Amino acid sequence: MKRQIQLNDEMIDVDVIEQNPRFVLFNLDGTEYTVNLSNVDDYKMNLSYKNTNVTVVGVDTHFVVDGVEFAISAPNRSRSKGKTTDHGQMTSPMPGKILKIFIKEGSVVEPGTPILVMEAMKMEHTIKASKKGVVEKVHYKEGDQVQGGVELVKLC
Amino acid sequence: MKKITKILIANRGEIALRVISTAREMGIKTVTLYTDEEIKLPHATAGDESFNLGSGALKETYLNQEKIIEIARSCGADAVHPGYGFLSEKSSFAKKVREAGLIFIGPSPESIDLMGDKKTSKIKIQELGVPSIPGYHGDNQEIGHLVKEAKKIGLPVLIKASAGGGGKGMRIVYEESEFQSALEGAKREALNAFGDETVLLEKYITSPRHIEIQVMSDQHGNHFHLFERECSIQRRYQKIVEESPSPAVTPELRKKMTEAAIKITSGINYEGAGTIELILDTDGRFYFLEMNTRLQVEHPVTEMVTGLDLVRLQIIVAQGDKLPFTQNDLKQRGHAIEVRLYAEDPDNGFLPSIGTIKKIGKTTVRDTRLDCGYVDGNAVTISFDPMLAKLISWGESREVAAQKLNLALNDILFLGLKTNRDYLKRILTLPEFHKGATYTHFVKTYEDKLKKKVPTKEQTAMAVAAFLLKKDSAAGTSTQTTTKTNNVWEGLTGFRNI
Repeated sequence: MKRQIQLNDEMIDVDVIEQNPRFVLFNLDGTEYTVNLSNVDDYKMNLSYKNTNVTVVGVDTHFVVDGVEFAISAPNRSRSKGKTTDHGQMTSPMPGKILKIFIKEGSVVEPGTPILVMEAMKMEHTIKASKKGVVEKVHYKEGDQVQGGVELVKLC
Repeated sequence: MKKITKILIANRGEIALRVISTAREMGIKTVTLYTDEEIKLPHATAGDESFNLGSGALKETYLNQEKIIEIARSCGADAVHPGYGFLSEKSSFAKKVREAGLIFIGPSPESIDLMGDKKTSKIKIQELGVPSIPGYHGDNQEIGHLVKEAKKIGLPVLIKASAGGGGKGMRIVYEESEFQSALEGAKREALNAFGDETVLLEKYITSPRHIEIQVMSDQHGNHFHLFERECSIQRRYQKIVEESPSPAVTPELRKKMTEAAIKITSGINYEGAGTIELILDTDGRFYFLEMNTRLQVEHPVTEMVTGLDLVRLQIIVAQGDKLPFTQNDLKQRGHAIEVRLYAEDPDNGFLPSIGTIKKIGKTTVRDTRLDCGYVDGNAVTISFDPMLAKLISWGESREVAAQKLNLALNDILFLGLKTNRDYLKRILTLPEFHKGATYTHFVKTYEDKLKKKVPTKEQTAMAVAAFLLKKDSAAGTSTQTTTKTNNVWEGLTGFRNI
């Protein structure tokens, strides 16, 4: 069965040829891998591949192999369909304080135009527009405390 | 003097837990503080008693001197341990604790005041014959005079706007012939930026190392040093790797540095634990930077090479006992390295990250210690410092200590969060680190070499295999489950951060 998975920042194709709870045979990037699962201990999985034992630790989408970290998940269709960019919404990435706002309602922004500076965890973060548009609404003023995940600015 | 029986810890996180562990060994009861949002953090309940500071700004909680002293009195504590940060270097707090009839586990308010002020400390240090960075801060701004002063300091020198900051009005002069144009440029910039063209001169140190001497003094006039630590590797002016001994310090240099440190502690009649921070130049000259009048974050490396418990020594000193050793008894054995794990993304400008810790992990690497203020399931929020834990390894040599620590970093994972764990491994395995080329601009100098490495094909395949075989993973089912990203910055699609 061919399937797509999200590996770090890219979408990759995996061909799962055979699978049961203790075994998986798959083709990745032209190479076939036969991997046995010998033991599962809490968050640790002991795998064996070609007589080599590999311990993979992982919780949810966060996997670590030999100390190397991977983010792996099944593609999230609902998100890829409705990217926030398309709606021109801009939300705060984390709770913090608005230090400076560079634009006004009606301002025309290009990709890369600085929108505002937020302070979170004693550090300043400049937030830039990633698309071209006109600022329709600025929801906060300088000095305001904002929660994480709230809309800051609306572009159209 | 009376023995301490109950300590209120005016701090949080890993350092609160650190104090508790020693106090417990000494049969001393502990009292901890916590805020509303910290109820699930281990320090909230790890002591014998704990008090809620409510919520709000830090000045209402961990910086609220009156409230903390009131709690200490009401619960019958006889001493207060300030930890590091927060009120640890506030002389007014030390004074109020004493006035309330309690023991402050730290130096006298006078020592804190004297060393806490950059100006008074430098004057005192010079009196004691310990060098601070040579410079000229005088009013005579004539070029001829400034050139003379610059030559006295020795080139290269830094010309800096007196009113300055942010790199404006700053010039480095390597040759005397460049002095005039550099001075004019600096003055012009200074006038434009600050409305004042007064400049000062300072010796420019091209490849500085940050070396610090751990000191410990009792109330009976005994002043000891516990050798040096090197903490040159920093990012955003915060240390991330600390070690003892320093690969750059020879026995002769160590003797000079520790003698200077003792000169300071005996000269100011210091009491308790402290750290003398020095800048070491490549020519073996060192200069006083500042003194920290408290326990340091990186004290475990000193503990591992000396076999001493610094918190125990602090308590011994505070209750008026003599330190139970002579300088000759103290030895620096083997090598210890500490790394600080932060919730941050080193591959994206060290941006802090927040989220929930799914799994910290544990290590079975020998001689390795984890000082951590969190347990699985805890949330890392923006309210406090993003340091998650300190991981320290000891080995017979620097090489062995680095190998052990690098291995232990494979076990201490903080799954669920974006951390600097992998970045610390890149530092520990960099050939330049092994050569001891650890200068304060290490992170910048080796920026390219410290970039994230591409995983091998097999590592990627094993990660994919684990994902496919994982019982609860979305891969095992046909229905799509929403996988939420834990790093809020990562979930960002509408805008870019720099």
